Amino acid sequence: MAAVVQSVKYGLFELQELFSFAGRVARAAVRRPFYPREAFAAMDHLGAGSVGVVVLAGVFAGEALALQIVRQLSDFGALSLVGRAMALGVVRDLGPVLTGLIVSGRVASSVAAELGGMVLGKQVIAIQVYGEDPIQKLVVPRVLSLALMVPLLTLFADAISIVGGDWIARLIGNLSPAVYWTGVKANLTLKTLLIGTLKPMVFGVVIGVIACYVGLKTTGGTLGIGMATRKSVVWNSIAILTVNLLITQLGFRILDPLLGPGN
Amino acid sequence: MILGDTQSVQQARPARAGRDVMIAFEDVHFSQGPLKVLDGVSFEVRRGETTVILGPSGCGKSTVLWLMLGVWKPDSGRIRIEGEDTAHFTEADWKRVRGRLSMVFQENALFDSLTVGENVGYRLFRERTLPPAEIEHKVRETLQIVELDPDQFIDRRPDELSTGQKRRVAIARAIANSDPEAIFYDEPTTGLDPRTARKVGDLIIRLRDLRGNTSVVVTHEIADALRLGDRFLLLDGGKVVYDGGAAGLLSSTHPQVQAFLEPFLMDVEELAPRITESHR
Repeated sequence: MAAVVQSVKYGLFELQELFSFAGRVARAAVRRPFYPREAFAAMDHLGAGSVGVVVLAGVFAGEALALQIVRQLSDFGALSLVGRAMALGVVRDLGPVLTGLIVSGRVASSVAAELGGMVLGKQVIAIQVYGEDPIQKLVVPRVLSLALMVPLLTLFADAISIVGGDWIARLIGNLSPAVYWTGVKANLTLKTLLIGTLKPMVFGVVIGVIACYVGLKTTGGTLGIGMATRKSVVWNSIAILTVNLLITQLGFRILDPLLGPGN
Repeated sequence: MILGDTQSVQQARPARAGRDVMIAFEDVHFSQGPLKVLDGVSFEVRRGETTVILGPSGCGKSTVLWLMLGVWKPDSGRIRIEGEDTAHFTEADWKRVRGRLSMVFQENALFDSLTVGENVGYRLFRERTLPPAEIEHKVRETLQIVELDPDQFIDRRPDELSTGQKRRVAIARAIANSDPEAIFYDEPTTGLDPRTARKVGDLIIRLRDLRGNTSVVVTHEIADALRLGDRFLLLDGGKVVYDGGAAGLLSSTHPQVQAFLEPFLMDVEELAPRITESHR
């Protein structure tokens, strides 16, 4: 029992530290100097480098989802709704969550390992000694680039998944493309697009902040780097799923009164 | 002067902020979690001198450097830099002070993503007070001081260098940046082969003679310490157990000083006859 209490206390302490770190990042993000060179490098390395894997995942996950939807709706003679269901499911949930989890696996581990290596190699202290703020130089560019790149990657994943859904609807359900795309367009509402853009943007910030926090707290040599990468991926995966649920719920509560209760 | 505890350190040499004193520690305490790293440490670093901080691994030698640079804050006690109490320093104050100090890291801490030239001119490129051509000229000049051919090394990455070359680039980075008033060396010869260690030691002495820098050298290598230092501090158990010159250190009868020196003396005593026999 004591061990459980201790773990809960430790978990709460870590959470408090993480939020305090996020606050420091937010303050650093609006303070000079800015590091555009580092931000563009991070966009290239963290964002553009993930396009291939996101596209692949989008193809397979989108087609699997379409397969399920086509099978279920054909039993009810409602194949015309496949496009609507795909647009809603992919843009609001599958695309952002899938992209978030893939980027978290690929990028969060790499950022945590990179910063962990810099901490152990004293490069982070060197940055401080040479008059710069490591949060401004190392963390802010990574967080901002992820906040921008995760929505773009999600857009790729969404597009590929929806196109894949069309193939499946045509091949398995003999559904005409015109019917499928009419359904897709009908559900690509402002609310869907807002949620579908907001989620990956928040995921990008979450991935960046958690990965950098874990990386900068690395101790204990190569073993410590291994632990930091594992921790970064696990924390990020849990955070993405939790934040996804929160945004979905908040989306209904905030956007329904503004844009109406429909899709 | 041999001192047994913090109390006697303070009584014998009260820290003061004078013209010749660049950095002063006054009864500084510092802990990391439950571990007490520094337990009432007081000493002074005088301008133009090379102060060597000796001590066994984990005794808090490097911690002293991080405290001097404001990377960590003491739990209690005062650290004065040129008479200014750093307790109330803002980050801007630290930036100003760090602009006059430089550091050579034990791990070299070269930035992997930058070339040797970019590493050496790191602060100059960032400050942008000089045009790029002048920065490059200064970088080349500094590489020559540390005996690295600029044409051969300026565009290389740190992972293409040997350990000794990395250490020399790290020293070049420390001295290229705004001609620092004080340079801190953290274990500058550790991990180097004897010949390279000797060269790095010579370089530190040459820089001191050439530029009159104040130097603080943290090391556990007694031979290097004796070559480089004007004054010696021996830390043990978080306390200063010796503060004085080389002669006093070697002739000390203080148990902790003797315990620290004993392995080195034993090496010499044991090796000397064998070396003589093998050369007969």
